[in-house]
Amino acid sequence: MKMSSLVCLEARKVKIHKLILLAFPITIALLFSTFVSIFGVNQDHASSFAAIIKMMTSTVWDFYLFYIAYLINKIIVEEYVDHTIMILFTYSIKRTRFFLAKILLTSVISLSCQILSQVVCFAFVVVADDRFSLVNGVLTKSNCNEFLQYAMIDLLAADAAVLFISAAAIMKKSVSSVFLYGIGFLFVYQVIISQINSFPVLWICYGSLLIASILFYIFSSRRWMNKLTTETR
Amino acid sequence: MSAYIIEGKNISKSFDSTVALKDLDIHVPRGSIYGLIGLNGAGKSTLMKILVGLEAMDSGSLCIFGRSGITSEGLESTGSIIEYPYFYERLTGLENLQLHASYMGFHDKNRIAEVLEQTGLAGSSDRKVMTYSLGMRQRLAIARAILTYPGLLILDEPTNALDPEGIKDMRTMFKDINRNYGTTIIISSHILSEMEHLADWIGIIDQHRIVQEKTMDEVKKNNRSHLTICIDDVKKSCVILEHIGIKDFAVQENNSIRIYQDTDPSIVAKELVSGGVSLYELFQDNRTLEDYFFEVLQNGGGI
Repeated sequence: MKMSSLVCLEARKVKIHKLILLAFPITIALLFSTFVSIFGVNQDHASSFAAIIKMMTSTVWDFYLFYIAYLINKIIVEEYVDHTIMILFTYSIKRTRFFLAKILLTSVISLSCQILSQVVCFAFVVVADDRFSLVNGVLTKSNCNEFLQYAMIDLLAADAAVLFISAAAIMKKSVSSVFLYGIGFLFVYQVIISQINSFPVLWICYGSLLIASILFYIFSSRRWMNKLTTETR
Repeated sequence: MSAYIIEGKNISKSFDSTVALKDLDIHVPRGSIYGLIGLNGAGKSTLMKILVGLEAMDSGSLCIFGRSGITSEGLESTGSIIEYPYFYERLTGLENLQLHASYMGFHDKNRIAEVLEQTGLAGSSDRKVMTYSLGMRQRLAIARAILTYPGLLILDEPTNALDPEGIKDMRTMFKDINRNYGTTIIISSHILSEMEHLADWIGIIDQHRIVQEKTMDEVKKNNRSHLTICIDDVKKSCVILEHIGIKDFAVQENNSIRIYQDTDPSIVAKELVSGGVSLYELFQDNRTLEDYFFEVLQNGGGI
């Protein structure tokens, strides 16, 4: 069976349109929090567009990390919790392909929604600044490039998060563990983004994180994927 | 082509320190309905999980559809219900079957309607599975298992939670599938009377291995209803029985004789006593598969 068909079947199982619709309230919440935080952080109107863009993109990323965890719960953990994984494993399709389809679906949905929210929030900041003069200075082409760079780096980090949390889901097979590992990843992301301003270093850091997540996923799927139930002892 | 659709030798499986199967041999003839019976924890479900690839055996050899081990070709031709009828709860019965058909690469839409009709779920196929009763789930699981005309059906307690009418319907359906499509069915059930009506082969599993595999005809032959008499003089009793025209009997240990021939117990008693034999006990033993099963377990597999 083609991978695209497997992804479509995964989407049918979880009624993906309902999960995609969740991105709308998330984006509205993000617009609100972006506006409030620019007002709160930037009351003296001293922060530049560069600082605001960095803060905004990482806030969007933070929100979407929980969205990713939620998707993984729906797409991976529920298969184990509801024991439907036993149905999947009796089909003549390689188990690794099932999980690849699940990860692809999670990645496509979460990354598309995230990039959409990033663009909407950026547009909102530009419009809000025009109306309320929130930011120090004017928007330049280099600010737009910075936004693009941060958005791309965030996609890379989000993909690493998808793999890392999926590996945790396969290992622990529980909702709470998925969110716990997600928060752990969020902490690592925040430490890196708050300490480093250089784009090449950020690319290297998150690229390394992606490689580490891939390795963790491979290890986890080999060791725990075939265990049908959660460990009770 | 082998006469067996499933042939396993020395299959062993342990979970940490718990032994689930130990040197188990199994032979399921093609086109048969093979009833697997055993006590709880004997290893039936583990064996079935191994047969559908949900668990891997630690050692031993397994041949299904003439191929060694669990192959994708084998899985494509296998329908199964293992442990409990699990489904995607938020999807309807119909959506669950459509999903299964898609995964199996099976695209006959009429067939879905047909199995829903066969299992009595046509009227409730648009309801979400989470609203189904256990009996309905069981029916839906059976519908899913037979959807793609599998060559092999592996059913772990498929009639659990069904009402007597449902059990009878399913029995008829399994027999029809077996007869019409030549589907081999391996089925486990705690309802031994049901198995007696359904299976044409019986495998008794005890202490993590199969202790006996016999055709139902053989089982019935070894398990005929009989009249048991306990007497003081076996030789004399045999002469008397032959004298009154009873030929089909067997001498047992402990001075008892089993008379398989249909006969009037009062005549037997009268003739024995008048012939000078002391008759201690006389009783009619109407044997069922359950009696046979427990007798096999007591004798460690031998009868």
